[in-house]
Amino acid sequence: MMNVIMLVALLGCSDDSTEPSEEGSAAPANVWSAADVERTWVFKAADANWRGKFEGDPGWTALFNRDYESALSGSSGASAVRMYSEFASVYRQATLMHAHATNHIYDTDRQDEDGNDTLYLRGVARSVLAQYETAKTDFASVEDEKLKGMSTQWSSVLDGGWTSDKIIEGSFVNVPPVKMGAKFRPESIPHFTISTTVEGASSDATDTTELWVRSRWYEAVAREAAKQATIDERWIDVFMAPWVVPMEFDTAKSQSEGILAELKPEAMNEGWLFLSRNLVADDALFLYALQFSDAPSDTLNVWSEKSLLAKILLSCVLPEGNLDVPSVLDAASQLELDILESMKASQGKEEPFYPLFADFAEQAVLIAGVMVAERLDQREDSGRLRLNARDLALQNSKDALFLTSFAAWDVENRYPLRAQDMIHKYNGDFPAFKVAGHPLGTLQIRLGRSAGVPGAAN
Amino acid sequence: MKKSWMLGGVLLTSAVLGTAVEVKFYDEALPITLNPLFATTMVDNRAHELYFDRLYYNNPTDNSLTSRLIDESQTKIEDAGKSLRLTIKEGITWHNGKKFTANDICFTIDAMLNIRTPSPIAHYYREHLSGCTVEKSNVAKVTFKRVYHNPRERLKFFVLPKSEFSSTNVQPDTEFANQPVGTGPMKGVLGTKAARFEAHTKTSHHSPKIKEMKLSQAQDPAVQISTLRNGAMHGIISVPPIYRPELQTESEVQLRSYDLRSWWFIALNTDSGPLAKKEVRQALNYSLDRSELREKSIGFDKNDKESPCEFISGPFVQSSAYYNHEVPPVEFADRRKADALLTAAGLEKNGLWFNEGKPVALRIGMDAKLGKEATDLLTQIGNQLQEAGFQTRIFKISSDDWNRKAITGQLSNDYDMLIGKWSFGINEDVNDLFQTRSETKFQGRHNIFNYSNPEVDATLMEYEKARTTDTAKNAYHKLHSQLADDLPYLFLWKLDTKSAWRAEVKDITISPYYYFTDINRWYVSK
Repeated sequence: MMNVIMLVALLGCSDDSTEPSEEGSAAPANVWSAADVERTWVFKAADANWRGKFEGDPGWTALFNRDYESALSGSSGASAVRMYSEFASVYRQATLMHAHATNHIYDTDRQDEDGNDTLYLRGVARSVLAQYETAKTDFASVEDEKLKGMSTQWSSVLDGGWTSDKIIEGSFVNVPPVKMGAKFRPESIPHFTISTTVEGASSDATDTTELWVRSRWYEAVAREAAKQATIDERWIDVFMAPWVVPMEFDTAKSQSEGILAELKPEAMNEGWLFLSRNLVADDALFLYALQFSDAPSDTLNVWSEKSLLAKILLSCVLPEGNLDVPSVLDAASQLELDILESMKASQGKEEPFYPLFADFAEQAVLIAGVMVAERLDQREDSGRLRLNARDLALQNSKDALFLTSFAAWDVENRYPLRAQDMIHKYNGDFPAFKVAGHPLGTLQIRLGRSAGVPGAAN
Repeated sequence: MKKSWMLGGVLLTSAVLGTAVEVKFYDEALPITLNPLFATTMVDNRAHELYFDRLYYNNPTDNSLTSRLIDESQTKIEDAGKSLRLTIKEGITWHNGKKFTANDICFTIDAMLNIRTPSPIAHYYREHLSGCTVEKSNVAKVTFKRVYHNPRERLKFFVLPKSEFSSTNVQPDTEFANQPVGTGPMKGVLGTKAARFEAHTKTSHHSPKIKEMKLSQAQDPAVQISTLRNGAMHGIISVPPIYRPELQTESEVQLRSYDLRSWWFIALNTDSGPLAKKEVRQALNYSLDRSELREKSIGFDKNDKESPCEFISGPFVQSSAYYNHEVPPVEFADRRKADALLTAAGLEKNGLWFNEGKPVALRIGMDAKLGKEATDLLTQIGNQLQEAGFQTRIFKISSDDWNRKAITGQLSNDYDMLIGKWSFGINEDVNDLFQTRSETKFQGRHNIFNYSNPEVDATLMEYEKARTTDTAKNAYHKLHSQLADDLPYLFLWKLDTKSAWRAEVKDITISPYYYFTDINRWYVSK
């Protein structure tokens, strides 16, 4: 079997499609070996015995079918730790989306109607975005006594950022006990109304705080589940690191060195890999290290020895140090094809679900490419990779967490349309998305009404 | 289709294709005009992105406002914020080799400000712009009517070449509309069967990797799909939903989201016989089984979480902040309700429905290009209304007639019902569709059957005059509710648009209104 896989990999390396083309940009020759391919969870998923570890858990089946609500309710043990971590991360990104939208509404897109009480909303948003000085100024200008009171809990965060001992409570949420199976029901929106500068007119408002509190609750349940399943909960930190919001970055970074020194990839539960954005355990640690690295290019170099994603992406870096998007696209699609062929070769047959699994490999390269591009300050290139990842995902590899983060990125760019569509599509799985949807709607209306371009086209 | 690794899925096939020099694609139709001042269709907008450059545009990827023509480092705000001094980048040429200058920018603005230029697009710019002066050959000073916090947002028009026009009174039916000269990434001409494009490389601001392109009018959907599969074509702008599941599983073809906010409707002629009665329009609403229409014409799969088609009850998509979720869509036919309403309206049933002694006969037209997205929709609607007791005659309306006559309100004497779709980007303003038509006030320009309702007009005015965001939103929520009751339109559904491109066409970035803007990056992998 090994010989067959080796042959496939060699064919991939020598394929003309990986040579620089006249029309396009240079794509690297394949850098992965047959052994690399065999290490991936995607390849292993062709093996019925390996796959059997997951098939009995309805949580995994539901996640494969992208039925997130059932994935959460049907999970247990390691799958519960993973699902609650997924939900916590999704709501972290929803928090970020809400914060960016609110910041735009009352900053770049502020209008005459907006009174001083809107500065409470902007203050919370800016706290989440780690813009502490301007948040302080905002909170100091709030006039409504109730809102002033609500802002006081953020004072501790404004001094040095969020730490786990700083408790932020939602004024509009009924937080259930921290235990698996408990339901955190969505609250009705708007949370409250605030007065405007227009006589007799008030404005509906939603508070970013609710989404933060919700995300923290899912994280707390994930940690509880980890204890029960005897999983080192620091893997939750590793999993969530790419999705934390700016105010928790410093805290997350301060603990990263210790975590990287102590966590060993061979000890990682495979529940963190199956149906994930990482192909091998070292990928998770590489992407964790990347988030906090002061020298991302060096991190890419160092981890390319162990992480397959780092190895591939390093090969897509141009001599001047930039990640080359066409090379990433080519590498991602080639890896998918190679793994698919290897799956078939190893099993001596072709199963109809192999391509569905193999697509996760392409997604993994593209999503890791997004993260590398961001860390290399190639923001537009990260967007190109985001668009490709979204468009190229098959139904089963369509990743709600990645899509939520894409939506948050779009909103940061003052572009709410795709984010609104995403929220609408997932409102059955993540009902509290409607909280994030509220400021997106306001932003959309403000942008649309001031766009100065025609509306309907035929 | 729900897939499971336990239950099975689909097979990946493989094929090897040669490198294509000319990238060929199907669009819904041919462009109506290549003069961007007169664009009315999304096909026009897409083609214009290839032939022309906007003065400013939003980057399709990260939404940043940018320009290929203006050197932003030298842009200056003057006159206390009412003017922008723009400096042109070095080395930009038109397709005909002439140098791009400030004269061209000012000519385009002057043409839009000239009220004899009958351009609906120019009308929007007239609201913001007051003039333009050429300060140097590479410096133009654009003046606005008032101070805007981001004036560049008001400069997203395509720039025309002064040398190709004899005056600022620009008319739609000139040779330029077929053989344009632009600064865009592609040059070429519009023929009777195709539009051809050739890379514009003798300039500093474009270097498309694709050298030639050809736009063909969409054929029968099955033919489009098969030519895409066999590599004879590279792309389809709008893939009928019914074909998407099978394409999604093919390695040689990739579906691409085109996030237009498009919704479909049947406009009702509120001046035509019994349709003048609201009860009759409401009865028609209950006579349609949208669920069956969706299943038969779009191929809807109830288990598909990613369904491209979603019913609507008003003139917005459900993800929009303007959509009023308190108004439920009508999903199934309800013959009893329909019969009661028709009877209350004074109609009598004797096999068929009769109004004042005559059988109710409905002339139903449809924008022909929609039939390629929703197979047999026109026939299905005709059949359902026949079953409900109406005589029907169905007609396909050419794209040209649809654009020149239907949406300008000139088919009121010919049809009782017209099936169409509208597409929106960030601006979801629908006032033009429902406001009482007034040529002098430039209102109701897309009011298909010249619908007029004072209460609706008042709501549209509320929206227009709204001083707060919530007031605007609430006005459109009210409008949604009013229209769902008065029914100048029967609202059908929102339908996602998806393109399909062969996998070897790479680095594609698409966003609403910006389909080909980033064409310089697209490339064909060997």
